[in-house]
Amino acid sequence: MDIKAHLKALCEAHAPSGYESAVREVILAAWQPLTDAQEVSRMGSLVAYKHGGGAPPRRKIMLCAHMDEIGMIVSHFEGAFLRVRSLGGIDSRAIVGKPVLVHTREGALSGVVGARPLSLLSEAEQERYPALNELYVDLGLSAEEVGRRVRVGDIVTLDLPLIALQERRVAGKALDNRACVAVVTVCLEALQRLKHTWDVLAVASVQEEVGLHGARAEAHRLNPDLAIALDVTFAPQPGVPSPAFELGGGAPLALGANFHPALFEALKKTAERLELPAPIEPTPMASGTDAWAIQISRDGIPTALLGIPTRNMHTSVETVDLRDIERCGRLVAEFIASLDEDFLAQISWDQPEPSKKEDA
Amino acid sequence: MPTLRENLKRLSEAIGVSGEEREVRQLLRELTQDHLEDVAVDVMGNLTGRLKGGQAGGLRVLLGAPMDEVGLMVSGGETFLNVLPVGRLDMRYVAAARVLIGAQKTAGVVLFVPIHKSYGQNSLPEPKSILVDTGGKNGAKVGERIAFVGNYAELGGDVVRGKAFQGRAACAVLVALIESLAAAPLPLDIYVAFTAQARIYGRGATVAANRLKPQVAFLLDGSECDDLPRAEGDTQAPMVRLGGGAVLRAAEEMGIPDQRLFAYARSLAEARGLPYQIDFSEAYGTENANISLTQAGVPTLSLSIPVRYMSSPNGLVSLTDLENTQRLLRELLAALTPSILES
Repeated sequence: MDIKAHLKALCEAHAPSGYESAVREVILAAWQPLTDAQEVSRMGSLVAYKHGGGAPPRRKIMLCAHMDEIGMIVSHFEGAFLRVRSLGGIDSRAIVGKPVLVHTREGALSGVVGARPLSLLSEAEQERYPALNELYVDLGLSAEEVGRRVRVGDIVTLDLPLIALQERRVAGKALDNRACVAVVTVCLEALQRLKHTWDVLAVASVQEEVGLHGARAEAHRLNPDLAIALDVTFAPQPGVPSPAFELGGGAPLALGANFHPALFEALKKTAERLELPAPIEPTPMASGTDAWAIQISRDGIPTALLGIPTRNMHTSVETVDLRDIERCGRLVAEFIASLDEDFLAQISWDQPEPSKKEDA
Repeated sequence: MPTLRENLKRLSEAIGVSGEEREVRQLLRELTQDHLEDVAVDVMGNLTGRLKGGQAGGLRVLLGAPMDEVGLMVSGGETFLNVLPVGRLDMRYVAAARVLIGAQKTAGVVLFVPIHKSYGQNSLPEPKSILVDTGGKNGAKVGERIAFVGNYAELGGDVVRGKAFQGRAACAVLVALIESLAAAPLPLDIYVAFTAQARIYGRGATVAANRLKPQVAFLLDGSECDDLPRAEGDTQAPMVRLGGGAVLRAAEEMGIPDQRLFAYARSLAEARGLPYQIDFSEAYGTENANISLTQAGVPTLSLSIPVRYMSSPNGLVSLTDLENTQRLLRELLAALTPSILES
């Protein structure tokens, strides 16, 4: 598979939280030939099943990458202009002058995020970024035309292509978290050539950016024995404090209360065996990812988190390295292939205490 | 013949950061070469020429349009490029911008600290803090120009979105006017100048006018629209509307346009029923003053095309405004007599 072309199709789909259909289609087309069955859940998440070679009932591992992106929603009209609210953490500082699509019942309209020119701003306003309620979407249409075509509640997305940078790096919108959807694709592809006894449940979850909702529902419904969540993490750049993870330096493996320590160790061992870099991402408390919801589903699900280092997160120039995606996908596939019937027993919390005392 | 729409797209997408206008200049040369003679690129990088079939001894007229755009220049850096601004940057549009570096057009992006790590930091940064990421090691040379990337598109109706419209919409109008004048000549001696460095104090225009020595000059440019949502309590009616027709500049940053020409243009627009609007903001526009002050003074009038978000890589213009501006300037030339300047 041409991973760059796949990622381009994923990122250029317009699918903010709660409105994931467009990207779900792209993912389904990619995963269908790689899996045995596919379904769209009640929440709208895509679940693809790749059966293991073991005798039923088989153990199940869930891979979860959210497919929604941040966007905006039309809140009201001001003449010919659309006022918008955030749909999942849009950064109003980074969208001024950016091209957008307004998704109406008659199709998408192209526009731009407008702001008053400097000559119309007070001195104080000239020194700062505008807030979202000072911005608006301009479709270049008359007020009448806008009123006829657009409705309050229509969805607005950034409309920028994925571009190639040097060193197999790419920049674009929605790499959070389509980069990790691509990781799952790479993994499923690698599994075509590997034997695995466990069932694999590949989930492209909805509504992560507005509260991890899709992952929460799917973890409950699918009740997997293990789960690996995949989400972007921070790469170093001025203004981003350590810990941050170099582009091309491998997929960081998270360690902390949100993750099962023995599952973490097992993944780390797999990475070492394959000589793949897997730096540790210390995450003492909340990870802010689907892993947070999955871990406390049902009776508790042993959960791990792998990340893809990303620059400029939550902007339209999110930047990742394709090599990280490829290596992370391979790591997950090899880990799945290594799972046997006894694995759950091996990841018990407390090993028996050593009985021999050093001192009398 | 390519349409105004096709030319505008090509002109908008061409690169020509002030002081290094080569690419857009070559495009303009290609678009106008059939109709111009004595074509020259002067010391400043202005592209100038004389309209073929002009009447020797006729009133010597200069038609100008600026071809450059704001951008950045590479100043150093290791992993990321340090840059300096070229022209007056509106830093709101620099955040997370896409750029092209140098003649080889290496793709880059302007770094932006994720909101997770910069929540509440709302001050606009200084231009010197801009960092450009090419994805690889810094391969750019110090001094290379960096252009912002626009996203050209045709929106609804006659409105198009794109970059560098402040000058390029004017260039597209001047190209259309040159074609119109070639098809139906007027008894004038017409010179054209696509000027360099308009965004750096309009310095190209000074040299173009000194060289071409016009008796009268008409300058095309962009004018900032203010038909936008206002702050609460601001009840001012907008001066410049998108789709409102050609803009006559009643005041500019460095001077007042020639009042005889201004009155002439206004009454002619009314007589011909051509839409026009008056802009008396003094926020920008320096070429007019520069040309006015060449030689012993040259009567100069600015005609501007309304542009929304003029300093953004995604401004908006109305093709109808471009057509109306071209028509008004053609009418102004057709009825132009030396007596207008003697009153």
